[in-house]
Amino acid sequence: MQRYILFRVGQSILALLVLTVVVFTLARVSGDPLDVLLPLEATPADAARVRAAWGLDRPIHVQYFTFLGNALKGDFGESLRIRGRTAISLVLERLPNTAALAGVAVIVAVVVAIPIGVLSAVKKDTPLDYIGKTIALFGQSLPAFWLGLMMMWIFAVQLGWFPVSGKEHGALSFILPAIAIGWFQVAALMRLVRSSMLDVLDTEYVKLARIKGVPEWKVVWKHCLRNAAIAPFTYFALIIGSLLVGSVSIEFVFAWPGVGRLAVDATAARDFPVVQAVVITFCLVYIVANLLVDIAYAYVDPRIRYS
Amino acid sequence: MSKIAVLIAVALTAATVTIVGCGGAVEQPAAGVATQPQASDAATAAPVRPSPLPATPAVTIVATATPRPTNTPSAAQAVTDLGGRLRIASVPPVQQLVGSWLGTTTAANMQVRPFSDPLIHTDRFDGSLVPGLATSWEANEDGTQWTFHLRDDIEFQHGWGKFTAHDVPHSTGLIVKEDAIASDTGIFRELFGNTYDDVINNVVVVDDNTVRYDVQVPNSIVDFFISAQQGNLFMYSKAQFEAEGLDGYEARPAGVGPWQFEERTLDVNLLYSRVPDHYRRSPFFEELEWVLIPEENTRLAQLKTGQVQIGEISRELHIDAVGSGLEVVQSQLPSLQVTFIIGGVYNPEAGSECADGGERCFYQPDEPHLDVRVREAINRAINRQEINEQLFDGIGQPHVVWGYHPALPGWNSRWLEEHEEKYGFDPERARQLLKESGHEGYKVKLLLTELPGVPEMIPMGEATYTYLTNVGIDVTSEAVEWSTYRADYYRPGRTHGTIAASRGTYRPAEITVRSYNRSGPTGFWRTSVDPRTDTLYDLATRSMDPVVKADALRELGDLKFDLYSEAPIVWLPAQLVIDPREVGEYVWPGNINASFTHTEYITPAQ
Repeated sequence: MQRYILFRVGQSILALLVLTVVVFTLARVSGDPLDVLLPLEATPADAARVRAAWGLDRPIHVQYFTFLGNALKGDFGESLRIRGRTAISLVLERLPNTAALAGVAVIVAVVVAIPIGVLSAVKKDTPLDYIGKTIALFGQSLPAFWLGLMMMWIFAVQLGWFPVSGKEHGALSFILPAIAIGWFQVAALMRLVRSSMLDVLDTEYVKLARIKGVPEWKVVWKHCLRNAAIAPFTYFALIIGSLLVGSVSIEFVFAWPGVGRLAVDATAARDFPVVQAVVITFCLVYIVANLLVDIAYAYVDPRIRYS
Repeated sequence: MSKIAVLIAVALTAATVTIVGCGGAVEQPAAGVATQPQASDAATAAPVRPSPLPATPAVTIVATATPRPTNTPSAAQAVTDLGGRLRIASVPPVQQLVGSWLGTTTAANMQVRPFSDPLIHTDRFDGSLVPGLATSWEANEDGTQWTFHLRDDIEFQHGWGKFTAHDVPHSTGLIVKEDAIASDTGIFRELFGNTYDDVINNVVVVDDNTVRYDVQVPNSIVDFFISAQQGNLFMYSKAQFEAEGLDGYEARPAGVGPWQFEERTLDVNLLYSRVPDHYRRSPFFEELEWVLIPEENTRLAQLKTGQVQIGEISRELHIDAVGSGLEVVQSQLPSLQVTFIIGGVYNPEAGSECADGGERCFYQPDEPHLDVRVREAINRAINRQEINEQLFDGIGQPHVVWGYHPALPGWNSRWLEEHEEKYGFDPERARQLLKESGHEGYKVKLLLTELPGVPEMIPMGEATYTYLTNVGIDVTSEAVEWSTYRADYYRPGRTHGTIAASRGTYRPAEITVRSYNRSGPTGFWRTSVDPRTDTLYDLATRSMDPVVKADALRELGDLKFDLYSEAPIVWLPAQLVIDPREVGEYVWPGNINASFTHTEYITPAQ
């Protein structure tokens, strides 16, 4: 187990290193930030002056190694779009907002998906199952930004139950964007729970439990769900990635001051330092989450051992 | 408890903690806070609303200014109670700043203009230059020295002392800093010096209330560049800079505007509070908040629910807004000019780069657009009336020469009279012209890009694709980002065989000529149809004689009009959606880079 953990940590570090090359290269391939940020009236001389002031005139490999050296210290440079602010400070300022939204979205996904998934499996081929499958269908096919706009229109504008956007309205501010982000996960998680439950419901030990007279609710919610939860549990690592990606469009729609919106704005403005800081932070979160789940996976299921 | 249950419980607890950590009490939307206005706010005269399209073109160059009453809002006479917090839903600016040298004029006008003033202000009705911190100004005969007489009763906010002439060279020098990317950094360097120290030397403090700009290149519109219409020159406290440096500006900038900067949350909002007894106009609301919302449907939803009182909403959603009881208001003057730039029209005689075949000589002799008949055919092929009615709801005004407007110096009424005859929609004539030129069926790439303020740019391009195809031109269209446009086409001089949709703001004609038609480094398109372009431009920008200047500009305009330099489409006003239950009147000129300015004059509904 210890060797496995060390191996996975090593893999993660290597992945991050490769990632720095990819992110650095892609950011620069996307174009020159001066073409976005300089005013229309800027002359070639103006461009040369600003390029030198921002350090963009140095050879590309020099820029990369400077970036890598500084990134290891957590310094991704100064934002080109918001002068006077470091890229990492902008990311860290917004990360709690995105994390909070993702946290609520996970709650939505778990609270909605697990009961529906379980009931859908237990009541297979009944109207309840069909409703569950319909929810899954819509959940996986509706784009999050569209769902967000529709919910905003119905629940904020027409019914006035929730604020339209922003996060200044406290807990209520979370509801619509969290559902919009989490709805896809509801569908995915529900389908996973349902199929796992169907497998488990058909096993011998479940039949034995029933024969022994164990109450049905206990059979389903304790014996079956516990064993069926392993696959959905693994899926949690993927959920984190999806939630981060989903946050990009939802934070835009709901004017949510999170990392996703920062990524959109920085990309549009070719703000290299911020783009690099955001992508590397996202990937770091994703890699660490996968690592933890892999480790927890072995912990949760004693049958699983790595050599 | 099972392991799974423990893990779920931990997840739930963590999520709850994050919500509690980030959450707070539900706040109500801003409501009116009733307080009595200051005595100085009382209006003294009824406003005069000039026609957006004056019949007589203005030809006077301001060399000496006379103060004019601008503190005369019509609705102000009825204002008895101040409003509370005025919330304006706006598109987040690309650059978020408190230092005006760190971004474009548009960014500075939105974020800096509320809390600081320029030396020269802009009239909210007719967009003309009017006294601001400078009560009057004059230039010498050759336009190399401009003297500004300053008010002596202005105090910086946050207790940073009196505004004096010493703050002017400092504020001007910031615009040319090494890392400055202001819209006017280039022209300021050309006029006042390349470095902060150069500017300090060239902007001379005559006494505490008088400052003189010694200009390196004679220029007849220095006052325009000094004003906030084109530039980013707002006054910052030198005393604050010396005590706190630029960090002090970032944390709590002291200005001399009608609003005082309070706080900003990046990507969320900017908050200002009312300055009582401001020398121009103390606002009618206690606070101003720019609420930064990137998605326009969200901005509309905010308006509908009363969470903001004013919003930037595109025309296609106006019907929905009006149907909900909101109102569309528009600027006093046209804000944006929309055109198609005909690429590849580089004139080898106009640019010094072509004298020795330099790499920035973009002239290619086989370019079809060098033939005036092809340019006329393009203009004849486009149905401007249809574009205006179908895409712009008929709000557009005629646009006959790119950069020129009837209210600006250099206008020639002949252009409007002859417009239908020379530019009228006539596909048959267009086909004939192409045939005569020998360029029938020539290939052209139509470049389309979405630009702020004109979301119709892409559909307008699609319509034009049809118009041009209809007269036999072999058109391919390409939607590109503005930055790509800039990087791949006009910066390296590869505009050959292209027609590009573009838009400009309302400003003196020579500024447009400088950017689009003139050769040399400032002319990024360099669509010079005649070798006299540079000479006329120099005459227009350097002559202090208003008649000579206007004549030179008019001659330039004649060349552009008669030689079909571009394919101008329409002048458009800036538009906003307001909630009439909360907002009484908002009059703004719209000629300041299409920005929403003069917020201090917005009145609450009574």
